[in-house]
Amino acid sequence: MIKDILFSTITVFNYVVLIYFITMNIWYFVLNIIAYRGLKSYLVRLKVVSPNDKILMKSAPPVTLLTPAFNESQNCIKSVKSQLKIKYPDMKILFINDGSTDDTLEKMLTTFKMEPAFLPKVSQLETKDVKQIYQSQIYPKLWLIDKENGKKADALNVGINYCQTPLFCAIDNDSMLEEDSIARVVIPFIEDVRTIVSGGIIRIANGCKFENGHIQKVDLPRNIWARFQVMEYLRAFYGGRLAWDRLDASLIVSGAFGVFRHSIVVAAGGYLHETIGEDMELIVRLHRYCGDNHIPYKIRYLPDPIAWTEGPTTLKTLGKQRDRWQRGLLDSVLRHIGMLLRPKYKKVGMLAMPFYFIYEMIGPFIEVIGYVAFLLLLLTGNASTAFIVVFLLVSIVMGMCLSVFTLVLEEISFHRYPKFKHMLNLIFVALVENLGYRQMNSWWRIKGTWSYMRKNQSWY
Amino acid sequence: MSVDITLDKLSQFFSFNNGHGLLSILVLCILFFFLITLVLFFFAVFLRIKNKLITQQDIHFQKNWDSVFLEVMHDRIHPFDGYKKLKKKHSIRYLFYLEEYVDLLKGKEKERLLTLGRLSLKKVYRYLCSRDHGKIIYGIHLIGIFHPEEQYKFLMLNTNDINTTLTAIREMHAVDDISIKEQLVKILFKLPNISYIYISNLLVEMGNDIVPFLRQVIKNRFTAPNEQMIAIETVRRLHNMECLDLSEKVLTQAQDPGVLSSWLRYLEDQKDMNQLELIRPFIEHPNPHVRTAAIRVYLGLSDTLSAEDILRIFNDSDIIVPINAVEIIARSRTFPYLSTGSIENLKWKDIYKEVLI
Repeated sequence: MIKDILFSTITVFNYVVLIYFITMNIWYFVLNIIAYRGLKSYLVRLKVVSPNDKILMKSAPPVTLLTPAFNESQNCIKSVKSQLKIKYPDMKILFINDGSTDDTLEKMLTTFKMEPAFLPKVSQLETKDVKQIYQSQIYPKLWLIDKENGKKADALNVGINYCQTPLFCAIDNDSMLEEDSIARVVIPFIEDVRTIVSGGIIRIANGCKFENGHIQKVDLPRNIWARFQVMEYLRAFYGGRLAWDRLDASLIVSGAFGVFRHSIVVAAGGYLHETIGEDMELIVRLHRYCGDNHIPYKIRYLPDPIAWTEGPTTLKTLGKQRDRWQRGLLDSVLRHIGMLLRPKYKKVGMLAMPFYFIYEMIGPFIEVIGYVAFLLLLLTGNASTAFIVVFLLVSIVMGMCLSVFTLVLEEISFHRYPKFKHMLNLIFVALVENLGYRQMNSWWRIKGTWSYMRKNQSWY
Repeated sequence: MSVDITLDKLSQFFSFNNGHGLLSILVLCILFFFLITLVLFFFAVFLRIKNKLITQQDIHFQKNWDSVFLEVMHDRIHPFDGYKKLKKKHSIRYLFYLEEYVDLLKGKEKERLLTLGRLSLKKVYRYLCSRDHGKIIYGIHLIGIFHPEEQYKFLMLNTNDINTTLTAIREMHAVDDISIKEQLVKILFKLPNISYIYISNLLVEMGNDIVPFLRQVIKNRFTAPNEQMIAIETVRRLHNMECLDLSEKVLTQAQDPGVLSSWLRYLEDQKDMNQLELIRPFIEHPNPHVRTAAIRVYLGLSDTLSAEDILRIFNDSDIIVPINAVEIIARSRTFPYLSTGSIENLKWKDIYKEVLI
């Protein structure tokens, strides 16, 4: 009797997995097709509107670059030097030393000849204390805020408090922006005053050659884990974010590169301290804030402003990163679960939130439990080996298909990986990643969910 | 009975064990998606090869184009003769390449290359009638560069499409005809959500010819503050003084804070001493942006700074007022005495102390 019930439960669950799997892949295909259409019209526009256009740049609003840094002694000089080379008519750089315990501060002070200076605090977001503000004597647009340690969100909030411009750009210290990235990413703010956030694409820097903080040669990383990430990033940014942008329902603008309207972020309360995914949480909160207050707004993603970032190269660090991302996702979605299926939040509430909830949040669980359930059916003789093999093959072929679709999107647009062997390599990665890497990702995400639940019992 | 049989058949069909039906569907899925993957793979390879070929072709053609452009530019040959020497002279790639030259040039050299470009526009005109949005945009862009007056004929038909219209107007600032310019301004006023600074910069490119029209807007369109704001901002950016006499009308009749602060910024730029009395009341306006603009222009024009002014500015409810006043205060020749006690009581004392330093 118990055996029968168990068998029926597993069988029903397997049907759930099957339906889940089919709907998920249909969704991803639809998103890719939307992304393809969006990319095509964007490319047309790009051909006639250059970011260096004289009239556009005359109308460009001033931007402050916020770079929070904690113990970044090795990267800080290189990264600030690359930021100083960004071509933009009115830009200030605010380097925020978040209580580093290494020699980040000393290096910055001596390299850029920084002296104590005054900068008025324009907003009052709650943060840890600021110790001193400095200004470079060589580059007057470069400022440094030395503050007590309070993590990334706190450092960014300090930056927002001292930001004097209508827009600010939050970037990671290890990200390197291309020279015209800011000029490209602010265009939506000029052409549509409803724009409150605009983000660019993040690409993996491993394997590429940089000189003075600027990309000289694009190449694929030798490290296999980093190579998998190249494919993953392309898929996420082309297939995912571009489509969500077309649907006007972007839920993520990467913390590594995004430009925000200062006034609206301050009004919404700035970055949240007690979350691990402060970038996604802020975007979801901005959707909520604007929806609640009936503010017309746009959150945009553009595929051509590029920030290059180093991806993890060991399984351990990669696992930790994915664990952190999953916790961030869970935290952002669960904090704002009230937006789910609420027509007030338009496509965000009716489309994006359910998608993230079903496919991104609980997806890894269903995938891994599905593997276990199929294994059980196989062991108990209630499923044929042929069926299991065929089902796995469907999943692999669909995954491959989506990845190759992403490569087509890269080819019709910016084809930044110049050599023919790059493309073949990426196609090979698209095939191989389904045999182990994808499953590992699901495992890391389950671990992330587990650690999130353990630390936040009160939520459940 | 028959329902039972159907259900039995269905459950067998979808069974994980003996259900060949489900298995067949999944096998078909594999084949279908494998086929799509294969097609996409070959398409990606095709695109890569095509891109490579285009790059190589471009290098080859650009050598020919460069030499002809240089000869036409320096008037060594007539544009008509240059046109005959060109390879792929009707391609969009050629016209975009020519655009790069045109962007860098001025005067007669530019004019000669524009003439050369105009000879290749036949295909581009066909683009304007295309159903492909991309081709229409390319067409508008290229005709806007090489033949702006012609482009206007097309623009009249397409004012509903904001992107296309904006693209068209962006390319048309070189147009000479004042009546066309006025039409363009009217269309620009109708485009919602575009930054008013951007629109005014587009209008600035059209030159001083449009000022009489903008003057009418400033004078009469109090019901459309956005249009007024764009008009004022354009006049300000053109450094044009022809609208200064409208000060009294604007400052007494305008209600919109955007219009008021734009006008005050215009007065600040023009440094017209006669307006001081009109400006003074706006120093206490409820909107911080109007207060800021008023304080800047008032202090800038009067060049006298009283202790009362200092107290007002540095006790303002909004920080943008003292931040924006600092620059003007620092320029002031007279600086009133304030006791240490009253400095310490200022709301924005940090900023004030910085001015003192």
